[in-house]
Amino acid sequence: MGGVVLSLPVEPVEEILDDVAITTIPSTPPHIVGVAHVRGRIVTLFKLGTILGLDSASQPRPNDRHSLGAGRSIIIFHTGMRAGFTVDSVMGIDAVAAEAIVDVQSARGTLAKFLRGEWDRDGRTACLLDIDKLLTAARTR
Amino acid sequence: MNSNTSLLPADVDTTSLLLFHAHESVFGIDASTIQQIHFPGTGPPLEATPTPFSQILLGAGTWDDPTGDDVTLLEVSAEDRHAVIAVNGNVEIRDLESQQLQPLPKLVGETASCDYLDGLVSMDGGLVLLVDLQRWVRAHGMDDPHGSGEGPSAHDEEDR
Repeated sequence: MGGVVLSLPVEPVEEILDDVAITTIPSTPPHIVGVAHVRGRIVTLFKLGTILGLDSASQPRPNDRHSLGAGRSIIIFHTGMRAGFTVDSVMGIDAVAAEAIVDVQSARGTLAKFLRGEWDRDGRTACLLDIDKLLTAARTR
Repeated sequence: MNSNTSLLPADVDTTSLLLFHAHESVFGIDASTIQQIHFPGTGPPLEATPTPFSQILLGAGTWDDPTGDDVTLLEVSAEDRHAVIAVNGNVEIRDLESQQLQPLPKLVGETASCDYLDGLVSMDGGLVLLVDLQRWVRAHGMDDPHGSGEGPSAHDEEDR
């Protein structure tokens, strides 16, 4: 997202959806894209880039939100909470050794607050997101 | 039509919803809470100033306001208050089964600032946002009895 390679632990990921139908909710903060009906459940979708400070949240909300409907959504279930995060693209699933994950060195600003570490992915730094911090920010921003 | 205070009474399995589009989403209102519907070009002239539906959702801001002839007016009463709400012209009435009703997700409920959203309904593969207009009318409607056509409008009431 925003030219940054991000990664999540795979355990809490339930599924990855393409072009999910999003219902926007008025009077919600810009980082909430809307809600979607996913396998009988209503899931709140968040704009990952806005939470991480990787894009501008000051764009007109309606157009901004609907342009995100064409992206991919990662649905996670963690600590009893189900949520979706819209992303630009999903690159794949990598097996990463625990010792390959090092302290955050490359990221600065808002993004750095949401990282557990980083690792080298074919010569490019991949940032490992902290899901607890992500969900806390999603519900309290 | 009666004036139920809850969107879906516990002792009924179905209710009728009036559906309309706004801001690329579909909204639903319990039809039993609507006293009269004035479809575009068919209703009698109203002396009360209608309140745009967007104002109910977003407060003072304007947002996808229905204008011109493409407007349906809904007369809603709650207790001793009354209001005329303007929504987009293309409305539809559908029956809702109680099991279709779901609450707003917790994550949205914690952050949404609109007090009048009451839940969601899964319908035709999409989601309908339920709005409790009576709750808004109790807080912002005009005091005059229904049908008098006189007195301050909902806008006037809010400006005081």
